[in-house]
Amino acid sequence: MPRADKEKLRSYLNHKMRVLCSDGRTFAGIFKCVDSHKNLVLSDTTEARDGFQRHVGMIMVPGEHIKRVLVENLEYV
Amino acid sequence: MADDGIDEESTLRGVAGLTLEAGEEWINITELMDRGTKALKEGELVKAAGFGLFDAMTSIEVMDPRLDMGMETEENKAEMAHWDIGRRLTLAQTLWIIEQVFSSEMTWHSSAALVQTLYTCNYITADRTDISIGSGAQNPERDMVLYPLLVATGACCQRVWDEYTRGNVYGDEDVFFSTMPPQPFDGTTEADARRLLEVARAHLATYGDDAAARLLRMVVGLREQWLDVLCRLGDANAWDQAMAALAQLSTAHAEYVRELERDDTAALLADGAVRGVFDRRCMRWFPAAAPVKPRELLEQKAAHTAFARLLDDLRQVGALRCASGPEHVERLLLSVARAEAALPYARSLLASAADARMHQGESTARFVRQAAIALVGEPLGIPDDVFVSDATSLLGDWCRAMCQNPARRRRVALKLLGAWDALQSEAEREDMRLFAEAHPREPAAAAGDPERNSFSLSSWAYHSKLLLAETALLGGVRLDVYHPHELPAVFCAVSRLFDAHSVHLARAEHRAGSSYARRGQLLASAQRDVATAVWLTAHVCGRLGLVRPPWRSTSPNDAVAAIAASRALDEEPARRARHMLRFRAFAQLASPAGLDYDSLCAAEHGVDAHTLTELLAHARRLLDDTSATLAQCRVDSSSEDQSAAAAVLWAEECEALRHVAVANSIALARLLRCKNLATAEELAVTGSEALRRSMQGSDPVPSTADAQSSTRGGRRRRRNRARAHGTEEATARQWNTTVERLIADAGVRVQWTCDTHNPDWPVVSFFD
Repeated sequence: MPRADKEKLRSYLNHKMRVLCSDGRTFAGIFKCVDSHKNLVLSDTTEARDGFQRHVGMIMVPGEHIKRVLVENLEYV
Repeated sequence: MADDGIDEESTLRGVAGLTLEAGEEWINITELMDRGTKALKEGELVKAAGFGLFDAMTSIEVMDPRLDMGMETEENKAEMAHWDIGRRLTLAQTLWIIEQVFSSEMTWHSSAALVQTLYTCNYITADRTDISIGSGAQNPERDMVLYPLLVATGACCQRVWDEYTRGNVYGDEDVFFSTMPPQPFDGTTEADARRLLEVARAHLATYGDDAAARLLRMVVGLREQWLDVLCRLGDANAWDQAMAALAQLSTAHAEYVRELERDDTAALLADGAVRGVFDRRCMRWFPAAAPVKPRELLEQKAAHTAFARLLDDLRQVGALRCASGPEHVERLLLSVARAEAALPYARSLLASAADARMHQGESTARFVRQAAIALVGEPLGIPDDVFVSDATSLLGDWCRAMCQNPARRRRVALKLLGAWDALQSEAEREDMRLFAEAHPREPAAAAGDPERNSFSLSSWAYHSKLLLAETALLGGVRLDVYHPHELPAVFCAVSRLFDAHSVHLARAEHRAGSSYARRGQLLASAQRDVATAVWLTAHVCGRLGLVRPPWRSTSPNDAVAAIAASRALDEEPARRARHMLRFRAFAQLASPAGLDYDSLCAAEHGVDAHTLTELLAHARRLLDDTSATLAQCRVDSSSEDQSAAAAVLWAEECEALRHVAVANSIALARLLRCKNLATAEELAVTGSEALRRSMQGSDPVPSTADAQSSTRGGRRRRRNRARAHGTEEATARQWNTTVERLIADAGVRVQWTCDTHNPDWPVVSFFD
């Protein structure tokens, strides 16, 4: 059901998202935009690797380098 | 735990195939993302409200090695695999490493962060527990040459860092104070560094005439001299010795650069390249301390050029110490501000030197008084303490502003303009008070008469304010901060600046005729002021799309000479030239409110019949005036070259104006469907004159007194007047209607262009 998937994705806009990249870095930011190639835009993003973190702001992660995508579970207590 | 009671360890699969990460507050939507994005069409986006093109373009693209410093690539990993601190270095390799470290050092000087420059060298950041710096037979080039030079580099950087902490430079603009990693050479004293350099020199001497050893000996000498200069500059009492050492360092550095430019040296360095020494993935180790946007390291040649420029800028510190007075201090700092941006270390020292100079020796009252004497002439007395205190404080702010980085300098200059305006008013009152005290028998009005009162203090305050305005404009132009719609206003400001500097030049020329050599210096600085204003004017004209200023030269010196030549004949030609320049700027707007540069900034409305014909009529008037001026030039010209050159300038202007006037008339004739140009011009002139008069508010209704006049002649005159006025009104209405109907209703658009045959003048064209 493509439409339901699209709507579900839309429902996650402005949620916190974590993206694991192919080189082992994790980017955590607010989900702002995605296109048909799975290119993701995250705002207010923090990059993490090997325990080190830094703030990188608004970034675009190319779809081809995305290994995993996580979104915050608003029902988590 | 989810409300439906499913165990946290198992996965939930719902309609959208979501998986709950075990024990995590995150939901894995990787598959959802795959499916959802596949369902999107090409170009279709799932985006948040308010997310636009600007946000998309300003986001940083990660995983691109050209943009993403944190990206780990296979190439990086391969490079780091070559790192081996135990590698036995050759002299050529040592030289190559030292040159790379020098490039990093100069990049740090150019406002980059330590972590992205010097600390990329693994030899600096590596654990040196097992290394005996200054001794060690197992790896002599590393322990007795490379590491001593690195220690001395660290000592130099420490001295520079000490200067940065004085507060004359700004964090995240000039230097990154947030770099928190421990400094690798903490605790290294100057004596330690010098001792190690001696060890290096002695070791290199054992290699005789080996090319790499000879170059490394030069490097050791340069590093020692640089450390010496830095240590002396850190002590204000030792600046004289620092200047002497600086001169020797400049000579030695120039000689070293000549050696580097030799082909065999380039080959030697190429052979000495060694992999794994520099870890450019600085983010990996110091990600929390790294600035957002790292800078590219300077190439070897650029690094040495930057160093040479740094040494030149530091020489100004010595010159400041010996400055003869406040005017000299202002000039030195202005020359620094006008040039390409000096490095933060030099600027910090210049600020300290200027401050020290202002507070040494004579009293501040005398200091301020000297400023006025140098510029205009002797003030008539001692200004009072309040004025002196205000002037000294503002002069200190002025000097500090000139020592900032370009962006901050511009902001501070704009902020100080208001204070200098107030000081100028205060100075004017002080000048009048001093005049009244010196001439008690003169009437009160004489104190305000510029023919009688030289207004020394206020002239100085005004001139300093002008230089601040120039600094702000120059900074804005160089930083390219002006939007296209702001450029006409910038042009106005630059134009006023040019006028003011020209007046000052004229005054300086007059004083230069006297026997005082010092006034000749004033003339030289005044000419430089005009040259800067000319450069600014030409630049703004270029941005406005005006090909070149009326003086047909790109060289500021030639332009100044042309202005001076025209001024020598008459003041009018120079004013006309500037007037033409302003007219061209006005024509870039859709509709100038009036052909006066003060109203330029307020022009907002679009093209209409009135403004269109005003522009055409103004061009005609200028053509007539220019022709008259040219005729007068030819009458007055003598065999002197300057006069002839000015006449040639004016002849060229006339020719260009004539072509443009004809071209504009042709365009108007086509618009009005007239059969000949004369009719079109007549209509334009008549219509615009009528329109102008009607807009000036001439009363169309006869006055009550006139209406009640009982004389027959009065009635006839009233009828004639009303008939003439009615005709005029009708003409105005007809002209207005014709043009506006053609332009607005018929969809005709107006365009002003500068065509290739008449590049200096705008030509109107109408098109559907």
